[in-house]
Amino acid sequence: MKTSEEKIQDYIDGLLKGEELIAFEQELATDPQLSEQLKLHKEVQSILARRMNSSEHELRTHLHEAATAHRRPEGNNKSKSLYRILIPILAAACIVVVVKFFSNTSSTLYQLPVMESEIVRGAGEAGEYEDAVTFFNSQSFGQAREILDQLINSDTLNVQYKYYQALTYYGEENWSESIAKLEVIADGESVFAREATYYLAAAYTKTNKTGQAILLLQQIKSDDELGRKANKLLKDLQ
Amino acid sequence: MHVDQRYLAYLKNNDRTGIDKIYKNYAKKIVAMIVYNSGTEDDGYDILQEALVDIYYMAKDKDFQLTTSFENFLLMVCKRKWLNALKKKQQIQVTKSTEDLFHIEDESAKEIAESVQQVEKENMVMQLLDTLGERCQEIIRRCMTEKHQEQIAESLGITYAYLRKKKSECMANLISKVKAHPYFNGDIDF
Repeated sequence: MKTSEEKIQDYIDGLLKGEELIAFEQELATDPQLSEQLKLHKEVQSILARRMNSSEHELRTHLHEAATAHRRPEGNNKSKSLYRILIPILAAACIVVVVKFFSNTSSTLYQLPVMESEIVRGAGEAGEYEDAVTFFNSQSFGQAREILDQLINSDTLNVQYKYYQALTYYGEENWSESIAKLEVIADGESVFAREATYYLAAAYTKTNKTGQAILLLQQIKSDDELGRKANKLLKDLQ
Repeated sequence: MHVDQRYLAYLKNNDRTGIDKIYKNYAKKIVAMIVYNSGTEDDGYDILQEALVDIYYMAKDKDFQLTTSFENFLLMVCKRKWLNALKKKQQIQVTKSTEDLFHIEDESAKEIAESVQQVEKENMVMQLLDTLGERCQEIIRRCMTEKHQEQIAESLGITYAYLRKKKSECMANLISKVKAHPYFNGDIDF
């Protein structure tokens, strides 16, 4: 026995035959609900048939392509890509400029460098040197110097011990001692010669030997960070 | 025939060059309108795409004839779709200002609205189809797109009689969902 839904479907699909068809059509004529149900079935089936036999999928592909092309034209894309690259670079450049500006103000030009712990190699000396680094960077220059003096005694040719030792006097504003120590290093050919020259010039300015300071600063080439600091200090003095 | 009827033909024929022209000439305005009315740029492009699909069906199935410019027509379709989207999202209540946005001005606009309403009703049927089980969806899709149901039954590994039975069950399920839908039974105006 077919259900009402099966009969409706068979009727729409043209599969009801003979007496079954006649009986269904009689029922339709007398049952408005069944008639409404059939009408709705036909409408829905017609919609399904139209939609499923359309080219909507292909159309959507073309619409998507057109929208993508419209939203990201090649030219704009390139310029946007360029902006994406340039904006961080410009932002970084601005930060660098600001940092440079503040780092090169007059007060910072006289600041001591950070004593780098990784400079020294050699397991035997590492512990003592690290203590010196800690003292130096915490501005305990006397304690740092005590250790550096011991290290210099054990290795009299080590210029970096002597360089930081000289700077401990600079940190204590003992200008005469710092100048005496730094002059030796600045006259030498070690990797600390340029740094020593700079801090020697700074120490000279503190003792009103501006002329000597200027002469030293002019010797420092301005192709790196130290050179830029020297130029800045030079301009301040001039 | 309105000079802008060609835009409907572009969609009906899936003409990629013509579709590019539609985007070039109208996308900016449509997106701006959506953005102005609480939407985003992505909303704008989504609404535009769905509106163009609707217009495709109007052109294909109804041989719809433009009585106004394509721009006005497209704007109207997009406005209706955006209002429906807002209602669906329940992001905003329909206020007088938004009703003004969708104000229908004349008889031709009413005709357009009726055509759009029919397409939206069809969209709803297709959305309800997607809520059926996968097996039902497959049976209905194949029965609508393939001629020989005996072959469908064979490829599905079922008898022809069982396929007929399942098809009527699946269609009955879909019909009941359609009847229950507020858009279809008139509880909600399009």
